[in-house]
Amino acid sequence: MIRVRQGDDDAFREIVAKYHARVHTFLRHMLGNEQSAEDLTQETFLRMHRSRVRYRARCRFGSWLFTIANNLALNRLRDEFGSARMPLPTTESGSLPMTHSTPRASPPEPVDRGMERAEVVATVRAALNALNENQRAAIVLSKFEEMSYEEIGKVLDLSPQAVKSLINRAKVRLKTLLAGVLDMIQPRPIEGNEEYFDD
Amino acid sequence: MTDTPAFPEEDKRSEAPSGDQPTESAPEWLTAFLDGETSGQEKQNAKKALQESSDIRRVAQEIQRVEDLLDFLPLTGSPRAKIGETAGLVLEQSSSQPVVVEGDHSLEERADLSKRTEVPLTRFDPIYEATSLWPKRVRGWLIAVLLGALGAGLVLPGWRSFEDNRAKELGKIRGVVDNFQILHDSGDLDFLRAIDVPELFGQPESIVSQ
Repeated sequence: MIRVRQGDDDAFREIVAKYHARVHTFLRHMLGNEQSAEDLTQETFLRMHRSRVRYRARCRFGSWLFTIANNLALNRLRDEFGSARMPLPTTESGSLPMTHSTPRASPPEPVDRGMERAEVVATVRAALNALNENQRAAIVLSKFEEMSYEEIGKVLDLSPQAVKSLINRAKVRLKTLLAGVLDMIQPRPIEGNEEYFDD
Repeated sequence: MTDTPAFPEEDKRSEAPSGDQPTESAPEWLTAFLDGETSGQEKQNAKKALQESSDIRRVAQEIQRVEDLLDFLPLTGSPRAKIGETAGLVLEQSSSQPVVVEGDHSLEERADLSKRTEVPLTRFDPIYEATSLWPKRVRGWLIAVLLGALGAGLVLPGWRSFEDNRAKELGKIRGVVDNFQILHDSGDLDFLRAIDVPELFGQPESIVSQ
């Protein structure tokens, strides 16, 4: 980013190559709309490039970039739905292309083979869309960007404690919304606490 | 179910449950623990609660299942062509637009740029100051000149009137001095009045006769 600040176009291309898919994924989940996500991904990089002089090395670049993306997403949601506080419409269920740009553990297979994977994806997406925009952003940043509560707080302009509450509420809400499909997932040992898993 | 583990005071609302009541909602500390966001005593307390409470373990597993279900949401890939296209478009558009400089937060402010956001920009941004301060100074000078002119207009007539009155007074004094001996000899108040305002009382006979 230091090189980008100095006007190095090749360095900028490297940043786009590294972050394009991640920003696009974030916006895709925030907006629930592929076309809007593509538009805003480009807009995010345009704004980042125009504000490059203002970037400070002490600020984590990812947090800065996702702050821009999140703000653009909130504006778009307000333009389209009047209020970004509202959940997204759950009618859209078009599946995302199943191409992973970054290595990630394979999603677990549903226990109930009778339910198609596409159905599970649609159900989970509908549940995610039912969250308000802050909850949705926190979950997506935590899950897909593996950001810490502190980093998420920087993006959303919240304290780590507020992020803690936000993510907790979001997960409780998702638990309720996904109650019908929770049993499809095989229980696994509790992370960091394997010795106590006995149910 | 056994004892409720001790948790920090500030986390009372999310204390581990006690008794045999089923836990429908997850406490914040449990979610944070599963996210790897706990350390030290809080982490130990969470482990203890999980060890002692089957309800807590059940809720923890439900949350983990939610996490697993989120893994079904695919990540999107970005074809190399798309990346190149985006970078090219951005560089092209960016070259035709000014680079945002220090003090301009317009690209990063919270969503919805409102008047409330624009006011601080115009107030603190050096660029805005550079364009807006000079007209203010010129306006200030104009106001000062106008006030000066207005003040002069009010003061000059008063000054002239003051000068006239002072000349009259000096004339009277001079008359008194010139006629001191006469005044001294007369001892007549009417005469004195006549000297003081001669146009009203006319020239006293005694003076005329002398």
